[in-house]
Amino acid sequence: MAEKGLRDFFLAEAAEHLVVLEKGFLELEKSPSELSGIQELFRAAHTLKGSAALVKLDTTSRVAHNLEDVLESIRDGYTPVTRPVIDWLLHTLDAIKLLVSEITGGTPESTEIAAEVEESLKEILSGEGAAKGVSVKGKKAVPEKRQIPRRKEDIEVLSNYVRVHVDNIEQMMNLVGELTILKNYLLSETGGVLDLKNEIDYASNRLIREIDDFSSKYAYSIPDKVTYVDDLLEDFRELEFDRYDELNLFTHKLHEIMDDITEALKDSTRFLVRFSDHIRMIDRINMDLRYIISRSRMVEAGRLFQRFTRTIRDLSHRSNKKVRFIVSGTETRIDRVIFERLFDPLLHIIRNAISHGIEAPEERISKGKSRVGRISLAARREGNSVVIDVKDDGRGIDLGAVYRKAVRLGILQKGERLTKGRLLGILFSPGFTTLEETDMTSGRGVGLDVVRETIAEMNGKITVATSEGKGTIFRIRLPLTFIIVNTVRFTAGGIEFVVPSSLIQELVEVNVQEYDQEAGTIPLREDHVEARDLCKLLSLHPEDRTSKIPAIVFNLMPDNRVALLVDEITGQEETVIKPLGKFLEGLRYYSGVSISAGGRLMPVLNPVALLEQPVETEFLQPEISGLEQKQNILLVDDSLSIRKFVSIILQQNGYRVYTASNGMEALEVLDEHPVDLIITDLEMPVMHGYEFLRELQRKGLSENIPVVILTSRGSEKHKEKAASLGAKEYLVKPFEEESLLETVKGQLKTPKFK
Amino acid sequence: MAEDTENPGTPAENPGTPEEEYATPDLKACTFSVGGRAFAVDMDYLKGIAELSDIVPLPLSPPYIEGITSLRGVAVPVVNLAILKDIHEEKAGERWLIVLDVERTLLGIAVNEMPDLVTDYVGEFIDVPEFFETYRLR
Repeated sequence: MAEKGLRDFFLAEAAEHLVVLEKGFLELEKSPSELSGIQELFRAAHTLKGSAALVKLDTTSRVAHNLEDVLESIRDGYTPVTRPVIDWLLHTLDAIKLLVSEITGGTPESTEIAAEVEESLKEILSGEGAAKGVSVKGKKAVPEKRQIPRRKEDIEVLSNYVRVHVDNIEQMMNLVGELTILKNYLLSETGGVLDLKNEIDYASNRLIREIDDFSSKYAYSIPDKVTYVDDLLEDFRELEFDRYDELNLFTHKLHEIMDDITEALKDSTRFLVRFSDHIRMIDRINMDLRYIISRSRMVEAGRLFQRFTRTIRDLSHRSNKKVRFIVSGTETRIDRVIFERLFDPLLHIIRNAISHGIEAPEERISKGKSRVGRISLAARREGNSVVIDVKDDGRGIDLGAVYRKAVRLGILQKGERLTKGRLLGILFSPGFTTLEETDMTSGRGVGLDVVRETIAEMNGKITVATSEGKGTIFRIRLPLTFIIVNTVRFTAGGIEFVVPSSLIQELVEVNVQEYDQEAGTIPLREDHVEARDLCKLLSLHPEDRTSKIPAIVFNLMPDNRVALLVDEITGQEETVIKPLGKFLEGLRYYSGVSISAGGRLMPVLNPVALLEQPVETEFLQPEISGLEQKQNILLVDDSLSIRKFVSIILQQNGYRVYTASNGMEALEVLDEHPVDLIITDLEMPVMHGYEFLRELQRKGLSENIPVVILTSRGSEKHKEKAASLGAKEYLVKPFEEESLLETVKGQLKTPKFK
Repeated sequence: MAEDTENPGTPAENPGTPEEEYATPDLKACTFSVGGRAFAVDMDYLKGIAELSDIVPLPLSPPYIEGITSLRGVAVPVVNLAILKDIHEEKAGERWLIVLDVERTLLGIAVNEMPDLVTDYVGEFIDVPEFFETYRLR
């Protein structure tokens, strides 16, 4: 129940005001002439009155109102602070406390308290009227009989609430954010360790196989050459004692070592399983923590809606229209940031609804509508979003007028055909407003474009639907919280970006041929949607593009989908989004920066700004360090250490490295990634180097991609064979880092741009 | 954000270890050179000096913004003074970031040579708040 939630809030607030009042009254009692604090007391009583009225606690509000009156009168010098007045103040305070404790306990307010308070007020006012501001020396201050007891527990009920500064909550939330980063990092690291474990598993299996092969071959081929070393056994004949030759002992030992390794690996697997469990546990706790903290930072939508009651009443009076204001979903909790930043956009929409939407009473009646117009504000939660609808039952948006205006402003060509949704989208264009002259109720210089921008900054979106003669609905969708956001990660030109998932309609892949560059569209099911290449927008060189280009489809405005073509969609994750800070806040194409697992930074793209505003090209810059095209090298070797070692060398020198442990895997990599150079070993399981070279030749790949052999076989025979199969260079292990790099550089001299 | 306890701007208040005591004598400025030209900033705005590692570029930003870099999980804008002041500078393998703090907003200036902390201003003086206001993007 909405009322219940609001009441809880009132109780928390009341506790604070009561403390202020009590402290103030007691001070007043001590030094009645000291009136400097009276304004604060007046304000406390005033607020108490207002908030009590909001939650329909009429008696409490009435009592507080009396209190307010007396305090005002004291403040303005009409009522001197006398003993009876102070008593009355304290007494009335007790009355409010009693009422509050009744509300807390769930019982209705005792209405007679108000009458009693008013009665006693009359008493002191009349007594004072006689004295008329002169000292009340003659009148003995008769302490009033306290009908309402001051109970200690009244105060205790209220002490369940603590007020916390928003900054503190913000800090807690930031810490939760850091925990999330750390957790993501741990998770990704565990993945790495698991890979490593699998590598070791694989290597140890190979080792066992090698040992077995070797020992059986050796035992069969040269049994006589085995020398017996144990002179203690010299006297025995072969059948008299099971003898172990050195080889036997050696393989036996190797087997034992392998068993130990296997055992240790099993232990480590068990550990990793437990470890992942623990991380998941941390994740759950962290989520709970986040939920609780974000809850405490949230306020009920009702409190936001309440702020419009007055505005709507005033506006409807001024425009001679009758408007009923209806709210629903008031208990929906929204983030404080939304609470603060959504007020202006909502106010703008409501103003519009009253001045343009709702008709005058006569007009309504002639249309068969009820005299009184309706404006409703509704909030609800949908998954990870909050949806707020502003609805009016007015005349709806005049699409014809919108069209004419758009043509006049040059947004549309005369005679251009477009859907209703797209036409409505024009309402949000900068500087667009259908009312020519500004009037008192709306048109304060900000248009719906500002509304949309404000909402976009909060990673939200706004849509509108209208029906002629029936009314209009504006729907605002916002993420539940701002600090931790579910995002989709993707790359363009070697830079990784993210976009909040809440803005994305779908992720698709388009064939290169299907992307109509001239029209700037891609097919999407039966339709064609506008498409923009992110690399072009940002002047970046596309990387890793294959025949299928990933596209992110946004539906930023009603019926106006825009697809953003990127290089690669790299994942989806919950990340912490932080603002770019004051120095960079002018960069409108980014709404912040996301911090991934391992602390990597990724700019958060603001698709609204990027896709709908003309991109200012004056900032374009031909070359930024780190933006240079990276060249891709495929490294094929069955040895993990060689793969690691060579990868590090290459990466340090600015190459991107893909690895494979045999020819077969290498071919798979080649299917998926563009490769500029291949470095391969010759002796490998599954598919050896020569086979791999032959495959490359067969596929016609060795003509375009230089192949460098890196092997421990140094004979001419091996070299010639490799050269005959298309290898360009031949390096023998162990190799020098420099000669490797020189070879690579030499082979990559002419980078290819496709 | 956690308070940076390694702030070299206030070693005088914390004469804990002998090294720090040694480093205390009235350091006034952080000086550095860009392409042979000397610059100085007031120590009061110096948050720290860090080795400059990965820079994430922000396409469509002005040329003098190289991008952002991560400083203990905080994104710091990296400004290239050579571009800003039109100074020719060779590319360097190792670079440093002078991290400035202007009313709790961090800002980094990338330099090729290790900056120095000195007791007197040397070279062109950069007024940090003014610099911040002039070059911040609105």
